[in-house]
Amino acid sequence: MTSVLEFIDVRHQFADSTQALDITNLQLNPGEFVSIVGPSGCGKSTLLRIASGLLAPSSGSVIRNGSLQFVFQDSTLLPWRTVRKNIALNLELDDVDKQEVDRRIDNVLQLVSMQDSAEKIPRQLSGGMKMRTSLARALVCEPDIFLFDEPFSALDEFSRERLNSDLRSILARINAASLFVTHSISEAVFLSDRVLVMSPRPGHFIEEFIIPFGSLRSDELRYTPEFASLTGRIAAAFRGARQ
Amino acid sequence: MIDSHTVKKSLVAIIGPTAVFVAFLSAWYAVAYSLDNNFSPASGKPMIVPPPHRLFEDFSGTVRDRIFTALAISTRTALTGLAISAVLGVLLGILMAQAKWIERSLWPHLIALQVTPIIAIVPLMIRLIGANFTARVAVTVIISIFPIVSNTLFGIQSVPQGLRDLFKLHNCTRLTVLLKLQLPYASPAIFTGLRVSAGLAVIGAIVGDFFFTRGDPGLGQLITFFFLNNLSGPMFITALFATLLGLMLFLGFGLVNRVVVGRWHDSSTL
Ligand SMILES: Nc1ncnc2c1ncn2[C@@H]1O[C@H](COP(=O)(O)OP(=O)(O)O)[C@@H](O)[C@H]1O
Ligand SMILES: [Mg+2]
Repeated sequence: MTSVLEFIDVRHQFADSTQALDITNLQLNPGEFVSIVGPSGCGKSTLLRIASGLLAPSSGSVIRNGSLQFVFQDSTLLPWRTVRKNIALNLELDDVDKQEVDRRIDNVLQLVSMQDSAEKIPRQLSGGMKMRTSLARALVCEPDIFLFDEPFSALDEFSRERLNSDLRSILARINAASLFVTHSISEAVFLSDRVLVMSPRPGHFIEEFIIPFGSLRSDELRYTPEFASLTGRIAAAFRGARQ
Repeated sequence: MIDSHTVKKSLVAIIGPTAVFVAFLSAWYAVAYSLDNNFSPASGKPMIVPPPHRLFEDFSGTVRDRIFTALAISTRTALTGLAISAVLGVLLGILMAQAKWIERSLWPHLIALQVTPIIAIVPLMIRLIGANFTARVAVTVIISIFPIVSNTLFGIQSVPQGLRDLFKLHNCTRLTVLLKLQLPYASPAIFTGLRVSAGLAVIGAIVGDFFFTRGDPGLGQLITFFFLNNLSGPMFITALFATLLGLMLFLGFGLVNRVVVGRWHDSSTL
């Protein structure tokens, strides 16, 4: 099985000589959901920017097999466009034909439960709804790889858990791989097949956890002893990383 | 239901300005009636400051025709200058946003233009172009272009990183980024610039006109004429029309701003 994304000896140093990243190896397999947790400033966003091609690494190589969508920390919606037109933006920039656009947008609006707000503009939406729109904008492109940079970190606990559940069920239906950066360990465990813990700057992976909960996960999973014990072990590794 | 808070707010919005206006009128009356020799002993006509209710006494016949002609000339100058400033200013702002070196090359010269007093520019333009409409417009453009350039540039530069990345991931052309992201994002700032420029364009058209001793008189020349002939009433009326012209442009752009970006941006209070 060839991976959809691979990092080989990727290092990055910023112009001010900040050593931001030092990844020996990272592989993302088709359909796989991998989360990265690590202390702030350890280079997680830099890693995603390099994976997306927004930033060229100082050295090493990144191999990508497939199309990609980036979901940013802010919803990055255009404030003058309605939800529907914001979702259309990605397709518009890629010259997808009009009828196809409408069909696909109706479809993703349903997926993220935003049918009723399609004609609203961002200032009329809650934080959770903005993030749903941002998700829809990425989903509508049907990419092979999703990159998420702390997408739910600005949301309240309740909206966050709902979005986690919704995201899992949406992704279960399509065969895309995800690289998900978060600082919430329970979010990482709930969503992922694999969790990688990163060290402080220059970031590298210090521990890998396989999450054995299968593909169907209910909200109750969060309150099981297995879940608690796994988050406990990751938290310990995370604390180790911070020292 | 109208809640009392809203009523209170709108009362404050009306009472405040009205109170200031009444105070202003009272001061005006006080000055008009306390000045020695303000009224001609022979005819009883005001000679220095006409009190408000007698302001329009002389507003008839030739005086009215001359004021309206001058108003038309100044309006045409201001609007033409402003239109050129708007197009040229936005284009310059866009150009400067394309690369740091372009911005750095042009910026000092714009600042120089901005701080040069209009009094220094007018004679130069008359020498260069002649005492004609083109020179008047040139003065107006020079006076009013800066806020449009700087606000366009500032507006484009304040597009957040995330939105820029979003477009970058699609390998869009500069034109696509400009039309779908930068200009819409910058439009509230551009409108603010236009409003400031509108005021400056009126000043440019009128103050510039003071120095034009040839050609049809605009409001500036007319004010000078009334002043030299001791016609204070008409002089005040002319000044009033100059103010109205500036106010109309200011409110006009406020309205356009509201229509264009009001739905998603709340910069637009009149
Ligand atoms: N453009 C830049 N120039 C210099 N240093 C940067 C730049 N971007 C990020 N950094 C630094 O690189 C490190 C990693 O940044 P980042 O990838 O954003 O961290 P994280 O997302 O894990 O919080 C941080 O110390 C940050 O200050
Ligand atoms: Mg980050």
